[in-house]
Amino acid sequence: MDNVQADALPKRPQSYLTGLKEGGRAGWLLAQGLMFLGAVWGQLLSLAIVCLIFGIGSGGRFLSPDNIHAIVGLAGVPALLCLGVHQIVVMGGMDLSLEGVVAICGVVCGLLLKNNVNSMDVGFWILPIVVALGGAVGLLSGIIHTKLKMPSFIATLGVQWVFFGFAILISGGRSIPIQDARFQRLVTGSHILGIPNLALVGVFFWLVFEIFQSRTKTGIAMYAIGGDETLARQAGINVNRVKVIVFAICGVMYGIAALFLVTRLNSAAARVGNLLLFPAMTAAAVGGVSLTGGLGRARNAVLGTVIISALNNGMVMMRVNPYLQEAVNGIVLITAVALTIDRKKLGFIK
Amino acid sequence: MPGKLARKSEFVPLVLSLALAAALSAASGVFWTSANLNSLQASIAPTAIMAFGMMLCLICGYFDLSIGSIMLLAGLLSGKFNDWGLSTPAIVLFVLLAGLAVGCLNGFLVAVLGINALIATIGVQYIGYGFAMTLWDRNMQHRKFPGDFIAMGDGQFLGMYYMTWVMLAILVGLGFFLKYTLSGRRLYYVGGNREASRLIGFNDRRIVFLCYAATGLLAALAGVLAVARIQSPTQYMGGGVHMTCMIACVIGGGSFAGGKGSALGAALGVTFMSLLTNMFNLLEMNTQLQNVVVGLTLIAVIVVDGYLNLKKMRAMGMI
Repeated sequence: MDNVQADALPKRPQSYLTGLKEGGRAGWLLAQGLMFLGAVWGQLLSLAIVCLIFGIGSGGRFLSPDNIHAIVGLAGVPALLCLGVHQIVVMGGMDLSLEGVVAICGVVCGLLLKNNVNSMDVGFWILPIVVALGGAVGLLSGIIHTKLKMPSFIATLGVQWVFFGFAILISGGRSIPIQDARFQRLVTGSHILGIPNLALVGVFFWLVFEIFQSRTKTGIAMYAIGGDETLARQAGINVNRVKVIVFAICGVMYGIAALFLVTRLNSAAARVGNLLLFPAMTAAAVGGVSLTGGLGRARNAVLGTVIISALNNGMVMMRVNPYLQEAVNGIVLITAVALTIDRKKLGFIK
Repeated sequence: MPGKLARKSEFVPLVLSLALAAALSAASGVFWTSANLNSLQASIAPTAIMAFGMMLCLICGYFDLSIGSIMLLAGLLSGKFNDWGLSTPAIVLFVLLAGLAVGCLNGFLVAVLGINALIATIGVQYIGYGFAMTLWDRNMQHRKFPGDFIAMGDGQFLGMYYMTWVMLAILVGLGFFLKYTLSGRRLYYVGGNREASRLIGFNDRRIVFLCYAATGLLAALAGVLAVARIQSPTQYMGGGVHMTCMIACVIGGGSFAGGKGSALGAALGVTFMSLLTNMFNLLEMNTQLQNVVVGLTLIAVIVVDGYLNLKKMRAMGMI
């Protein structure tokens, strides 16, 4: 009896290791590559179109190595933010606390690194500090969202105001000049193969998140929650725990991004986080992360950031009216969202 | 009787406003001067007109973050139309039409395409701001509006600005609409339980669409009145006004969860927020601290609203 049942059970899905044995390393890599391209061909096409339009419009200057270097370098910090925020979107939520978390982490970086306001100088210990602080704030958002059963956008809106206020209070509303030049050299430099260090950091975290999303229980559960929260709960996933963990991870990403932001400028102020949320959300939507949840991976977030970065760089290069650039970004956001939402999930809107 | 009054959702903003007004008249000698009262009116009336629109959306369970941009667009468009030499009625008509068009865009995105209200209206906020600011040029603020346009903002009737009367008229009309007409009551059903309202045969998409359209129209009206009052369009109009309106509406009995709220509540909530700003100015508080106070108000509002929703959901057995 037991044997019959065991036979009737579906076979375990083939792991990547079996695929490796059967098709050989080259076949496996090819299959992975095709899967990757298949998932993001629309985004790659948009990137190609953006490059083509601005490449022709600027007479080739847009595609010069210097400009590509600049685009990739500037995409680093938004990529970190988008890698954080897209995970909340995948779970079907919304995180508006980004600017507040970046503000508080940025100001704390300014106060703890060597500066001319106080006598602190923690050097590279700032990294664990800022990771812990960002993670703690993210944890707080997650707990408010899950325990008080508030919609995530309202909970995080509150958190955003609290920490933005704190950031203003502890910085006294001033900018704090950072006098530790090592960080700025690291953040603005390009030490390996001429690739900007920030882009390398972005790629590193991209890979980390790809592994998190495809190989860890929490990462996979995140997609289950985004697909259908009730079903995920009934399938035995501890939804609240997953949510709190993911919020904390996003907080960590905001913290790291804040460190890079303030050290790149060598100056920390509460307003360093202003106007970062909208581009991050746009990048996620353009990359193909669906706002109804359950769709979109780290590669989508990264590609979306590169597309937005290229678009904005191109518009500056073509001398488009700066206010019109904002309008274009708004149109891009709405179009991307309208294209990626899953209308089956909206229920009452048919 | 006092118990019944205290249970009304308008009671909280009324008491808060009266308390703040009493505190201000005690703390500052200039509170009751006509100059201060006039500036209070000029700040309450346009904001309240916009808050009425926001309240309509909140009752349906949505919100509109683009009203600040619509106000700015209305202001700069009236400047532009004035440059083209249009007469006052034409300026007002075209600006209101433009506001209605942006409101319809919001309604289309949210009700028809089903995009999340937050994203759709933030997107429209950026689009509106961007297009409005392309109209802006530095010389715009030095050109004169026609006399009757200025009179619209500057004229007084029985000691109050025309715009205050307009606000009161809308308040009465909207209050009646929401309380005593079938169409008005439908908004509460849609906000209370959208699925159920659709099942009993309401055209919920049309209702939400119309609410957004009305919000756009009201925001444009507020923009025209504000420009007429300050006599020249500025690029700073409408900044942060969506937050003020949202806080005011939730203080005035609205809820992010929908299905609650009234026109009177919105007006009283705006009165409270304007008195708060007035307090900052009269007591000369620093701007950083002002942000913190507004933020704290928002958080208090959000927490109380969330707690009440939680209680309601528990009572209904939803969690």
